[in-house]
Amino acid sequence: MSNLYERIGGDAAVNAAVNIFYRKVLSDDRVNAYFDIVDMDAQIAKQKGFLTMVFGGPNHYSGKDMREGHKHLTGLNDSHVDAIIELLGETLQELGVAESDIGEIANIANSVRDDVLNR
Amino acid sequence: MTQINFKNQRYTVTANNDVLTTLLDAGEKIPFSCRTGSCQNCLMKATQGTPPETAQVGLKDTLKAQSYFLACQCYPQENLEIDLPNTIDTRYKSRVLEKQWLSDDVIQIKLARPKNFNFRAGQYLTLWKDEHLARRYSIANLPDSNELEFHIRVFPQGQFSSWAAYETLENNFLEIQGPIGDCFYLEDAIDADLVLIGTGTGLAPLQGILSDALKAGHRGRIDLFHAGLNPHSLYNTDLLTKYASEYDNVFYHPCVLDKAGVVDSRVEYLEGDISDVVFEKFPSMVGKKVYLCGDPNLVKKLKTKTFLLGANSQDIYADAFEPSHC
Ligand SMILES: Cc1cc2nc3c(=O)[nH]c(=O)nc-3n(C[C@H](O)[C@H](O)[C@H](O)COP(=O)(O)OP(=O)(O)OC[C@H]3O[C@@H](n4cnc5c(N)ncnc54)[C@H](O)[C@@H]3O)c2cc1C
Repeated sequence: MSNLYERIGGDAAVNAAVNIFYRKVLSDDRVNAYFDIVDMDAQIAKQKGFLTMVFGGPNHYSGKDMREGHKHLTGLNDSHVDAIIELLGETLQELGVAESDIGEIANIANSVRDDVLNR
Repeated sequence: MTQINFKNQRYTVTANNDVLTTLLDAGEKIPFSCRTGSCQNCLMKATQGTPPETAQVGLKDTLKAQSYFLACQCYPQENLEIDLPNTIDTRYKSRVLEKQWLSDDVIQIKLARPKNFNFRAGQYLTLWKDEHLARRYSIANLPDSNELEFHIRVFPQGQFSSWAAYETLENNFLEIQGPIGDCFYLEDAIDADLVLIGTGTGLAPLQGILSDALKAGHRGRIDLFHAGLNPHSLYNTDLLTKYASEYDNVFYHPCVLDKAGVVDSRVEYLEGDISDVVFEKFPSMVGKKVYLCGDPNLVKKLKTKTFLLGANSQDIYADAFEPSHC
């Protein structure tokens, strides 16, 4: 199988990763201030969209959506994106994803960095 | 080709078309965003017919059980009658059967269950005082009787609650609408450990859920935490103590901020903030199914803690009693 998304397990991988990833995000003081938990189900759904994208899955998140979605967050900088990519990596390691695939996923996440930081 | 019926309009879903596209193309207004089945904005409900399983991937089990599905992922295999979620327009007239104070500020009201009115214990209804004022209240009993039981906290200035406590009379009629809500028990969970946490009248849905689990012959452990300011703010302690002594797997934990000097040899109160007390007992929530009901701020706090301590988001069911703004 050549396709990254299928290789790591598709939708089932997203579902397995989302709880672990979001738990890490909420526990991490570097980034948790940016995540509101008022409606956790909606947040989980959003994180699923993000994970589907970085896993190379079918999604309709464009750079423009990433820009719009983060524009209102003041003080967001490279260190936050780095932290998210780090937590993503830890999540994938826990799930036993191959290092090379983790690298590929980090690259996809990195590719929206400028959109997220609105520059 | 299949047909869908939406708000009394019939549409044909052509091959390779999903329900969302069909409705949007026809000019219907349906909320949506990602169109890939992840954002869940296009959640809809089948009121007739069974939506395909592939349109329910990732949904909470209690939503699946109510035939909810994602319109963008739905390629129907059969004709469906569908609606947006939480739109149940039918109202029923229901007679007030009984009123009884359960504590200084909680009144229990029993209404007649209309014929063919079905619900799952733990869901809630909209109760109409008159044409202008409606409030939501959770059903505390099982659908196996002819009554609907509610626990209503009476606020001194409460437009609905004060009226219900002091003005409406037995044998009066009021209108009810519903049921709504995805905070209920499913038999798939028969071996799971359940943790039920309620503040104040948040006990109402939990009492229903507990009864439902016991009726199903639940085999896992059930811990019910009921929190209040002091022993006087708790109610149904006798009933819950009785459940705990009758069933080996049921544990009742009345929890108060302040014991207020109350000594009751039959009830052992835990003292402290509910959002600490629960997790002193359960430092790990991994694998548990958790039901949270009552005060919105506490529900939110408990939800976060429960999740961080290892419960899956899919296994956390919550009803926050948000106040109304009218
Ligand atoms: C899904 C859902 C389920 C619910 N189930 C129940 C239930 O089973 N039992 C139950 O008792 N309630 C329940 N509620 C809350 C209920 O719907 C009403 O909001 C509540 O009874 C107050 O209505 P009221 O008309 O008496 O007071 P209102 O006229 O709306 O308010 C009167 C005064 O009381 C104050 N007040 C209202 N609510 C609160 C509060 N929570 N804390 C402090 N002050 C408040 C207001 O600020 C206002 O000053 C539920 C709410 C939701 C959303």
